[in-house]
Amino acid sequence: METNDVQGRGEVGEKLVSAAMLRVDGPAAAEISGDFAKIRARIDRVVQSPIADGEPTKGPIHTADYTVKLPEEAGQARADQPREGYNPLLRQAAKYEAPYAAVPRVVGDAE
Amino acid sequence: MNQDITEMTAAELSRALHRRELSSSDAAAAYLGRMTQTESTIHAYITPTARRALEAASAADEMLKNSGAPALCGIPYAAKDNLAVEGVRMTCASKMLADFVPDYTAAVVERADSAGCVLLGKTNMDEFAMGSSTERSIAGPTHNPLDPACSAGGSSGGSAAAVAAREAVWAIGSDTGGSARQPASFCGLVSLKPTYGLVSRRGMTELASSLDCVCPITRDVTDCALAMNLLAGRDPGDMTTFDSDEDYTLALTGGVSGMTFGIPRPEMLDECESSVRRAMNRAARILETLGARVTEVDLPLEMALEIYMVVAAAEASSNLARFDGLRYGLTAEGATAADRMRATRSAGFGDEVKRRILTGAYALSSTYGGGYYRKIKAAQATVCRETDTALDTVDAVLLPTASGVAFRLGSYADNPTALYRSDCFTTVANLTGIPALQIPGGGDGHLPVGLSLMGKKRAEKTLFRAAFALESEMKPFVGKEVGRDAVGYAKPC
Repeated sequence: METNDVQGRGEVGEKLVSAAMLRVDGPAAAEISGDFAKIRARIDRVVQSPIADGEPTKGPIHTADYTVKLPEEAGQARADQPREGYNPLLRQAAKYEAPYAAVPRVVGDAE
Repeated sequence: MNQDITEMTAAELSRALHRRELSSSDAAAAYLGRMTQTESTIHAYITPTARRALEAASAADEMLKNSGAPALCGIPYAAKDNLAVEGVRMTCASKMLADFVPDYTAAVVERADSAGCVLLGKTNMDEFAMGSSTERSIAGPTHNPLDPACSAGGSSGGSAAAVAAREAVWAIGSDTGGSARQPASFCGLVSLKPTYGLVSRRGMTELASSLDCVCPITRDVTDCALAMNLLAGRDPGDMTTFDSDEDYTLALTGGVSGMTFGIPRPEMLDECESSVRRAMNRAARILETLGARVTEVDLPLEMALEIYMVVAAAEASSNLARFDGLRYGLTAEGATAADRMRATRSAGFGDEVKRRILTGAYALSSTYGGGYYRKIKAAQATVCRETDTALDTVDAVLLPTASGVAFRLGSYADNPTALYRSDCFTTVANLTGIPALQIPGGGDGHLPVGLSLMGKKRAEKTLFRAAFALESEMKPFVGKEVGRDAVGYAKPC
């Protein structure tokens, strides 16, 4: 391996800095070197993952129908009322003046 | 007119201007006055252009005397400081360009000028649009108008803060990985990242040319549609643009009955704050109540973020190579040309820019270049394919814009790379070139939560239609959950 990387020492190699036409020295040098090492580790994982060889990231697209949990199902009623005096703009707005369920996750179990 | 001019949306102000109930000069004066009151707290602007604004307002008043003046004629707006305006300093929030004055004007600003819009000034941003908090600027940080202790988001934080603080009716930002949508989310505003090529990038300082988009930031969905009518369309100076003669305002009232929306699987939202999950749940339920079908979809969000980091850094590294101390801005001393170049770039760029240049140089270096960058582009192609597959099954996908509400300024000072996570829901739209529309979806007590609608390429009308329906239904909750802030600025919704 050439020397233009962090070489596992958490330091930005001189060749890389030179290629970027920069100088990294002074108090910021250690911080930038450390951050660069973290970034490099993350992007190396992408290159080494199957996705870089054209493999799918996940299985087939999941298309289960969404089911909203009612407040009693969620067990966590929350009074999310519109602010006082608000004039609903559309016909449906009044429906949402009922208490809302604050469920821990967005989606209920598919049925 | 009894209504405070600065409280009016662009649509409301446009009506008043066209009916001659107000003049553009009145509007410009009101906004410039507002800026004198609030700028010391918010710091949304780097370079105000008061004289230019008053001259433009006077010219707009002449245009408004004739029938057929454009919809946004006479409306005050702001532009991010990476958009060139002839004769007006453009810093990109960098020491490198601290005194740079361009001799040309960006295509979007030309369009706005031609339509009689009134430019109030150039807004603050993260240096060269690299960041998510508008803290990394030579001009200092921008503060969130809803809570000045918090970030306005970034990198278009100045543009969003200007609109939220009523220092502009609307603003132009740019979005490479979420840089307009995330600030709009933090400030309770609307922003559209258009399909790549719908809006010209000519005259915008590039960060990552294949990902950059120019975006409007507005107070509501209607204003966003009006702004897109102005900004969209082919520009001979940007070969990536295509024709558009759409009137996006016509798409607003179609409703969502019969449409299908995808939402992410629950585990994809594990990192989100509870207020975000609650807003998602409520928005999905509203869509169902309005007659839409909601289904789960898989999106390669995590992988998109990692790939984005490399692609954006590689392109930024190349684009910023032009700053060599010879042609633009800062010039430092050095014994040789190479020494001078290194000295200039080392003194002119901030730490975040250096981090990204090094990342990009690493990805593109001769040692790794062939295998490394090619693999990253292959991974990007996979993400595009999977996103297309997901969008084939639905009309649009609803997902959070950010995993939480605005964070306190300085939160990431000790760990700047952790801030990259804040782009986890937004980068997929840039990487695949699809449109994404941010709207306010609720709040956590005083700060807003943002939700995004993503659709297929050139599906902006579908997004506007859905966003308008959702906005109309969600306004009561946003209003309740985002209370008036401590310094008395008006609520964004």
